[in-house]
Amino acid sequence: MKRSVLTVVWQICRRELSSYYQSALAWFILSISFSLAFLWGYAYIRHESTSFVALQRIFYMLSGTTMITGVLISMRLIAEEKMQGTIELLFTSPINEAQLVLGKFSAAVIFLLVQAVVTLPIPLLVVIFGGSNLGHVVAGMVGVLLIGAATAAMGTFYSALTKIQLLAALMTAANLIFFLLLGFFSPYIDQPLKSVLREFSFYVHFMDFEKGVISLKHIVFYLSVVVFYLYAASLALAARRWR
Amino acid sequence: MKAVLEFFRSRVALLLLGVALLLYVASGFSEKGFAYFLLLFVAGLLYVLCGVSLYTLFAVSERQAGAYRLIELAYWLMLFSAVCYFLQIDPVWLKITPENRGQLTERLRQILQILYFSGFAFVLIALVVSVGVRLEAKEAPAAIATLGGLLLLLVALNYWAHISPASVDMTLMRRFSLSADSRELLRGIESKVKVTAFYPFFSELYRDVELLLRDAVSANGKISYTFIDPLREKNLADEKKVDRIGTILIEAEDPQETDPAKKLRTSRFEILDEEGLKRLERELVSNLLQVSGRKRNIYYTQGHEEKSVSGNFKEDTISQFDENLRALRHQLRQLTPAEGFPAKMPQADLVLIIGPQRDFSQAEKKALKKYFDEGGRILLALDPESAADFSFLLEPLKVKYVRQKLHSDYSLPPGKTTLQSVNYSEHAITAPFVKRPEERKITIFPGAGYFETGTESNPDFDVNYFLLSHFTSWIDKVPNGLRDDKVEPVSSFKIGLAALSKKSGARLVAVADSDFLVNRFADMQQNRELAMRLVGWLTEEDKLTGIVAGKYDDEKVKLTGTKDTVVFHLFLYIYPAALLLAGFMIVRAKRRRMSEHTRLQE
Repeated sequence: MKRSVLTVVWQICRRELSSYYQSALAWFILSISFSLAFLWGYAYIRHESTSFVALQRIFYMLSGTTMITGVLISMRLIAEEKMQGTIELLFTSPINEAQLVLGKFSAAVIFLLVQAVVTLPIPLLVVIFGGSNLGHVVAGMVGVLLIGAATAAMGTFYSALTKIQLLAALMTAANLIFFLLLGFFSPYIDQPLKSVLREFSFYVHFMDFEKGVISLKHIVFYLSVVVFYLYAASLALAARRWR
Repeated sequence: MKAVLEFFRSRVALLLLGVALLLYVASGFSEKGFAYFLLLFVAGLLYVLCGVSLYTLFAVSERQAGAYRLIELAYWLMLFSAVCYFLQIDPVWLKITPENRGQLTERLRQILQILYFSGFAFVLIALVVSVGVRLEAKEAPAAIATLGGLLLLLVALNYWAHISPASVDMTLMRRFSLSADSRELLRGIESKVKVTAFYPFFSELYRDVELLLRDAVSANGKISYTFIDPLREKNLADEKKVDRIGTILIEAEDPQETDPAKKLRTSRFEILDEEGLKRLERELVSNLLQVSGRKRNIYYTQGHEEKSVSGNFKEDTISQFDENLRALRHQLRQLTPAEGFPAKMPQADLVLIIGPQRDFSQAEKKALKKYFDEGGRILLALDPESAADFSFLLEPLKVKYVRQKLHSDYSLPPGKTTLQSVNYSEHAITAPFVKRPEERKITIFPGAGYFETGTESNPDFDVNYFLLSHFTSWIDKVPNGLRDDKVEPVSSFKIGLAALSKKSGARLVAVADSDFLVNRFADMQQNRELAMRLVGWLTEEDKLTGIVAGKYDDEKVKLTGTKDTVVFHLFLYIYPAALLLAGFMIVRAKRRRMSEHTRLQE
């Protein structure tokens, strides 16, 4: 019986999700990321910050914890299958590289969504006790999810390159740091390279979200990163036929 | 020789990487001198050698292979990217583009920059992949080419999103968005305006200012903006004669101006802190309109001992008011009867009559009345001690100017006849003065008379008494300087009126004092702002005068006492522990199921 593309993707995603939540690591990540974000946000709340600044700082911290989570959960996506030798088994079934990559990535994004929901009480504290509005929280959360999805896509690509999870995580982290540093180093570079490098910076694109503004150009940027890395990941899997 | 040829054959990819590196190093040279050209020559030579190797040293069978195709792709793409790069560098670009470079030319240059940058990035990817690809893997080049195509598509999509800014401001009171009035005003700008903001990239204000500028650009594509860091890009800041962080410079070319020295109209203001951000919208919109808008002809009447722009006692002149009007690019002239007053009156967009001490002649009054009846604009600042009589203008409004100085028990600076006004009615002129009671602004009027109105009113005019004296004001009916409670009760008097003719559109502002405009009082409290808003209303910039400073207030998070303790303990231990507990139970259940399964299998 021929199954539709979406059914295959959903089955892979469900299998991956159940393996996430049946491992202690996922719960540990959720708990630690919440604690870190809360301590940071609480420090700002206690330091007489205005509700706007407090929300901005909370989303800054949440973007950091989400990126770390993105690296940690994506490192095992394909590398683990390679290490256990189950990837060849997967490819004997009627699944192509793109479906596998999409299914695994969807699971990572759903995990990040759950993490966003778990950490939601922190910005809501500012809304309840600081008179801020939900719109700012929505914008911040959209940004957090987008930056998380971009990180997970990057991690999926590096996970497809190697069978060692730690190496995949290190490569993702290095690439992520490179993208983050582009923004910080761009002021020291002359035009036109300065503007181009700034446009590649992960954090520069997040700044508007943390201030409560949803901009089309930043959404397009993060989605472009996702599309590019996912396509590269499926190419990396297909490349086993080239070597 | 054979070894050299083999070296080239086996390392073409590496050599092409070297060419890319040399071009990158050369692009970093600001001076196009000997070293620059030497690097270009070496890179060019190496590139040609790579081409020769690529098409002579490989066997026909090898040319069908994946690795070869990737290198070939990288080779030609490198040439394309280099051409794009050289086309957009200053010396070439300035020669090949027309002198009056428009927005389209700038866009074209940006596209070239994106093409060369993406091209080189793709060359690097292709060369790296070519090293790990089997020779006979024929599908690799096609896959890499598809990746390149996708990359180009994504870059184009990002560029489109960059040049068509669209955003949704979700903040409370939409603090990063322009108001509907401001957007409408900006839509009316017809000439190109360039905004340059001087902030370091890491400054918190950088993003805030950019968000509002982006909204201005989305309102009118003729507005463009750029940021300069005065610390790191000192040469660019010096060119614009700016040395202060927080300066916002607005430049526009006046198409009607023939003198090249005066063609560029500029205006600047400063936003230095978070509090200043609240007035960014008003400052930005008014400055943009000033540099792009039509110049107004404003005439002062002279020859009746009016307040003068120059004089021996500078404090008693209105030179600051004059400077402020000139900064708005208005054309100001002083019109004495000898210089053509009142014959030249019809040319004026606004006539300022500030503190005349002598009365106008009948001919002058007739001309002024005619000018007003035909839709003219007049600012009338009167003094109680003056002999000038303007009843010919005020009577049709059913208003009488009372030449008796008001006294006040509450004066700042002290002085019985120095009035303080904190009462304003709802009007475009006083919009920012009354919209926020907690920030009620004060204006000072030394020695003012007042306006008296009857029960009658003229239906042809809308008359608004926008300015009222402090409620502790009184009239010294028994002239002893002391207030008698019985005959001299305290009250609030009308000291300013704005009249708008429903028929002709004529506008008149009359203020019962002219001293509030002189240098001595111009900088006191909000006198300057009031003066500029009077002129703004008279020159029909109602919407501009109606834009008020940011209305948002940042509340502090009020988390104290028991709530604080509960939240702290709940979120620091209980909530994370509950998450861990849930995880522990799920993992344990899974392990139990697994061990059960294993036991059953055994």
